[in-house]
Amino acid sequence: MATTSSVDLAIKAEDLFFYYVTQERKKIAGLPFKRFVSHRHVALDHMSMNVRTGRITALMGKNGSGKTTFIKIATGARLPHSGSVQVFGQHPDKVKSRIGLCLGASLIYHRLTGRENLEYFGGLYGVKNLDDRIGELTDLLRLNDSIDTLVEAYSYGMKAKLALARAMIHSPDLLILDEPTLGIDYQLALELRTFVRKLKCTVLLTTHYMEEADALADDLILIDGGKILASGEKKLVLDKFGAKNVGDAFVKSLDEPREMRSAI
Amino acid sequence: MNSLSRILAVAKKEWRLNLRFPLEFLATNAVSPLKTAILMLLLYRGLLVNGSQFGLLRKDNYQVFVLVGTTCHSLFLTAMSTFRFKMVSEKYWSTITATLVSPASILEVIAGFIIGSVGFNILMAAAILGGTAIFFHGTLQMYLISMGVLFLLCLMGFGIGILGTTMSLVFEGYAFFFDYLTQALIFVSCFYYPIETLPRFAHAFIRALPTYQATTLIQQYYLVGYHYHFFMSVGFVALNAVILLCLPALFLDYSIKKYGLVGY
Repeated sequence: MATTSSVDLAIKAEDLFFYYVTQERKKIAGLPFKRFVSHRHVALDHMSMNVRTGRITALMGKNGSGKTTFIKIATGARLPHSGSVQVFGQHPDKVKSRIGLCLGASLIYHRLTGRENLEYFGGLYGVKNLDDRIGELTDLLRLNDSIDTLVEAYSYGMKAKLALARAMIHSPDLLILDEPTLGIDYQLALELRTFVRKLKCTVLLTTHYMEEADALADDLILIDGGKILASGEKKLVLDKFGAKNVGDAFVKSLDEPREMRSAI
Repeated sequence: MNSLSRILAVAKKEWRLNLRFPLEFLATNAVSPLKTAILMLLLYRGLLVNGSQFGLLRKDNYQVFVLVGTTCHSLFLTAMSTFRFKMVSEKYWSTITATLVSPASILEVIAGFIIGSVGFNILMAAAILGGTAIFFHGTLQMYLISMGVLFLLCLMGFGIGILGTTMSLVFEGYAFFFDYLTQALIFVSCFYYPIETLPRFAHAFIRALPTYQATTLIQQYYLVGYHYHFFMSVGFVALNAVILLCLPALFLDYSIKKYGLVGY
């Protein structure tokens, strides 16, 4: 992927560095009680990566490895402390209308109906023929029966479907799915995976389900501690670790000594 | 066109969320300001006797002073608190990220909130001012100019509210400081008592406050008509409204991206 021209790249991140300032209750010498002390938690440690257009790229890593932080920066929700990220060759703020973001079953209003949610986000993205687009998505995701019901009455699975419909309302060129099948039943997860597989856009997927990455991903990016462990076409990454599947490669990549880690 | 679509989408969403519990909405926005107005009317009725004068106030004109003052106060307060309350709710509903990653600019989102959340209060203020103008033989011109100044006051309230929103979303630990400052601002803005009630040494400072200027402009306009520096004062209020709206909006946008949302 390092040799791919920038024209073919949906996301190009270079030397991204980002930290959170967190508070920790600590014992301070001379004080009879513990007090909160600020410290930096590095989430992205000079990370560079590429996501190719028209591919499904699985971004895999343990909890707290920096996946969601990277997504926040790639969508323009946060600024990195150093380094840069470009989406379709531009700053994320300039291409927001080409990005769709789905964070599990969140980012939807529970006090609105499914249709009202889609109308709101359709309006924000200036979607033409919004009613037709809503009809199309509710048909595809089989939400017709509940689209006019308040979201607070939805099951978790239905919320996940609506969240996906919300992210796709404007037919984005880049769809970012952050753990889209987390907490939903197996059958619905299969249904959503089939749906994602058929999409024509670039997809960046984060998931903890290895079979999901196996089933969907064309490319893999494995990260840990804000650093890239391996990245590239799925087959090449699997070959690198002598792994049969993504789960195997993921475990082996975590075992690999830090100095051996490199992108393909 | 897209900008208008985004503003209207936010406004429509706000209307829908507000009208989810219509009785609560009406009680909060209609009854509370009336309660203050009635209290003040009763107080001044008891205080003022025939022939006595208190600043501009006399037995025969205190009603218009109080009605204009409470209208300004309630609109300013609503504008200041609405955006903050709504955005904090969105922070805990986890829906704020969806709006932030959309192509809507922070100014478009704010414009949508003004129409969708404060629109009702502006209509109510228009009705009260209209009633006052008829009762006190005002002119249409007087009414329209007063509504214009009232709208500018509303924008100022919104702008200050955006600062409060930034504190609540990003610098949570310092939000209390902002609350005390705004309470002090409301106190010295003399919404429904004449400046003469406050110590003389503070008068110069109070007269420099755009909130005081806006309220007094309308009150004086109703009570004594034009004064020679009327349009200069309108210009001063308008300039402050633009500055107080735009700078906090940019500050909010930058703070969220740079420091992120805290508290959830």
